[in-house]
Amino acid sequence: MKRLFAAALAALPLLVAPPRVAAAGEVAVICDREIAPYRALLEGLTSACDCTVRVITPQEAAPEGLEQRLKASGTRAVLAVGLRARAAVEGLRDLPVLLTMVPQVAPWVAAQANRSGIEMSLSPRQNLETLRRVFPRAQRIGVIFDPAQMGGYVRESQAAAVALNLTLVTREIARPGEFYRQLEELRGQIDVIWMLPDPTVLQGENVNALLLASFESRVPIYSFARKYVELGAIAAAQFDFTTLGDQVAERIRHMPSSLAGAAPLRWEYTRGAQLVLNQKVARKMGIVFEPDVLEAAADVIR
Amino acid sequence: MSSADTPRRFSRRVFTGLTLLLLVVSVTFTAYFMYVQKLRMEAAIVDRSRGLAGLLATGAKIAVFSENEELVQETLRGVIERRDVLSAAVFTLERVPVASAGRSPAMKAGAVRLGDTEIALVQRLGAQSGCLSHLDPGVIDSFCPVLLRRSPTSGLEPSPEVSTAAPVDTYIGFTRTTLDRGPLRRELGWLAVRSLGLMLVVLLLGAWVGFFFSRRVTGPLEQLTEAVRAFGTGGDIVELPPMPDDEIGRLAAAFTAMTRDIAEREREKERLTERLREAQKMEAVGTLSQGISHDFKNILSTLKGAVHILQKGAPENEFVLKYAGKMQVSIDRARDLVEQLVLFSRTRLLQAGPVDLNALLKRQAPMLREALGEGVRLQVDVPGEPVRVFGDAASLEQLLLNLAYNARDAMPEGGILFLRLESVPGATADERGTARVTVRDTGVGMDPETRRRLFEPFFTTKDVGCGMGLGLSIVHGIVEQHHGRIEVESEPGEGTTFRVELPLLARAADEPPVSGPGGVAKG
Repeated sequence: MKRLFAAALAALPLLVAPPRVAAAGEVAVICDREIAPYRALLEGLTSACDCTVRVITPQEAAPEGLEQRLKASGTRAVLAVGLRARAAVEGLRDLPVLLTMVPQVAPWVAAQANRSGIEMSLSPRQNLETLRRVFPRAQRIGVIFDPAQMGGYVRESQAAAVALNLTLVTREIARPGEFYRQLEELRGQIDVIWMLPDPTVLQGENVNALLLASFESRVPIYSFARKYVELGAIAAAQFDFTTLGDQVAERIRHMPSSLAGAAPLRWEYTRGAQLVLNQKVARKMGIVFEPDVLEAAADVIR
Repeated sequence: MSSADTPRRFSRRVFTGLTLLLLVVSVTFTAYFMYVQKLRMEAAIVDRSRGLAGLLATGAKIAVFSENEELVQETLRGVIERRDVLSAAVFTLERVPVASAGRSPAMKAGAVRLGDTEIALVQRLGAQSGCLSHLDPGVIDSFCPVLLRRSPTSGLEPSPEVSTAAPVDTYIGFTRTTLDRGPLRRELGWLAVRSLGLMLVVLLLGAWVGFFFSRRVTGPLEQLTEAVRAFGTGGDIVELPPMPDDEIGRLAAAFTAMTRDIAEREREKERLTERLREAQKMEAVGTLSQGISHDFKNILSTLKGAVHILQKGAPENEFVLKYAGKMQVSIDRARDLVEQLVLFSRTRLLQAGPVDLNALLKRQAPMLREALGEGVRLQVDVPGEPVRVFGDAASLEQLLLNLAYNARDAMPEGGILFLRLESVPGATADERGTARVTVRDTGVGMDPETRRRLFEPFFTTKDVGCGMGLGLSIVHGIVEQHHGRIEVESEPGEGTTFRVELPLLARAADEPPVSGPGGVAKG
């Protein structure tokens, strides 16, 4: 069941991104092996890709002469994982570069034609569908966000909500200190709080305020990471790093031999998702999960 | 107990009483202070314990609801770092520990163990209960409910019902803080030491004040006692030092006034006794003179008759006539002496009646000038109006004459005799005034011994044969007969002043009896 749910979640982007012809050769992966999720991503990539993967640490990937060194070693594509890797590949112009595990990949990708990326979040539609499945009675979804950080994502979410017959009740903030007032304004107007990976929102005591408001108002929080489920959110759809490895392998396989005309499809959301539930808190809030939801969850805190 | 020991014992009793009173007050106050302080400090530490448990409960809402230890760790650390806090823990409503912290691993483990007493206390907790505490001999356990202000319903519940009910405080768990009572006991110990020290200081200070106070009270009493003793044994008046204006000071002042009054009365009594003695002496002399004068006059009459017969019988015998003449002179002198003795002994009949001293003085002035002789000048000062007394004019003339003779004899080299008459009103309206006759000479004056014996009969400073020593005695007798008073002031070389005061005669009804047969009374 979990596999089916994960496969269903992963299949959505493929409907809008047709595969391209893969080129044989070495793939250089610039990432830090010390970080566990990165290692999981590499394992997924290695198992799914029929290419040769050479891992270079960000320290080894000195920007000067990197592209010549990579070409000389027969590298046909570069995978940059994380912020330090992104800095290392800033100077690459000819080799195709795929960036992941970095938020806001779209502007970076748009800057150069050899760049493509996988956004470090699930798509709005995927999130809202998951939310509706976990909370079938929820109609009004509250979102507090910083337009500078998550403006585009929320706009996309608005469209997805309409398509799913949901109402997105949004509140904008520019500074972390504005969060509490906006949260108070949402009291009584929403059925679920959707916590986005917005750094402006998730600063300081805002998380505690959000959790307390959730407990007091008996409005569940739908989050994006297990960490917040452990703190008191009812559910979270977090991406699966192993599945992300599959998605990366697929993207590498379909990397264009020529960079021309590929811009509109050069980035996509993470497709692989894991559902995490907190049944302990849900019970205290009077929320009962459907059996199939419990079955589909990768992890349930009981 | 001797009287000499009484003041000392009294002061000791005052001192002991004050010290005991202070001791009782100090011990009572210290005990009460300690008791109140103990209650206050215990209440304070209980409040503090509950405050920390409440603080923890406020910060543990999310952790308790989500049963997430991580969410309360920071708050727990903040609590456990406070002074005296041994351990702290957070529990769910089902008494499941969410998180705990302690000064030691054992304390941390102990924080989540709930005994019967703690469970009974926790079962009393609720949304309305507030925090509860349990005092063990060594620690203070405080429990506070973790309350979440929750909406009664949620739209996501399986059977949603629209509810407009206001959020209510929901009891979702509780916190526990355990504070050490050791510091409280130590602080109480120090407080006891400080209080006892302070009590000792107060006691010593109070004892010193008590000693000072008792000395201050009994000191004047001792001085007063000494003064009473001195006055009682020797009649000495001890001048007491200035004392405060309080009961003792007023007592001392009253005592001083009393002793002075008594001393004055004693002196007056002595004066009166002396005067009585003088009067008795005069009386004795008078009685003696009265007793012999009659027979002596008869004898002199017989002798005078015999001398007369001798002179008549031998008119040619010069020898007889010569010695008969001498006998006649001696008989006359003896007769004069008898007359004076009679006058002194008050046997002479007084012709009492109103007498105007003013007129009497003016009338007698020429006679007095003649008596004084050429070397002594007489100055008379009399008022314009009459000064009337009730008395015998002849006796009063004799009085003035005797005083003039006395003055003349005191001024052998000559001088001035001042004679002044004045009317002195009484001190009050009811008191009768007096007529004062002042006779002052510029003579040789008298020494104190002479002054003291001045009025004694036959006392004289003149040569033998120049005076009988009865002149001033007669003056004294006349004054006594007139119920008057005579005073004398004299110093050697400074002259002598006699002041004779006789009661004024205001009206006829006031006429008093004058001593003597004519005046009824006899001296």
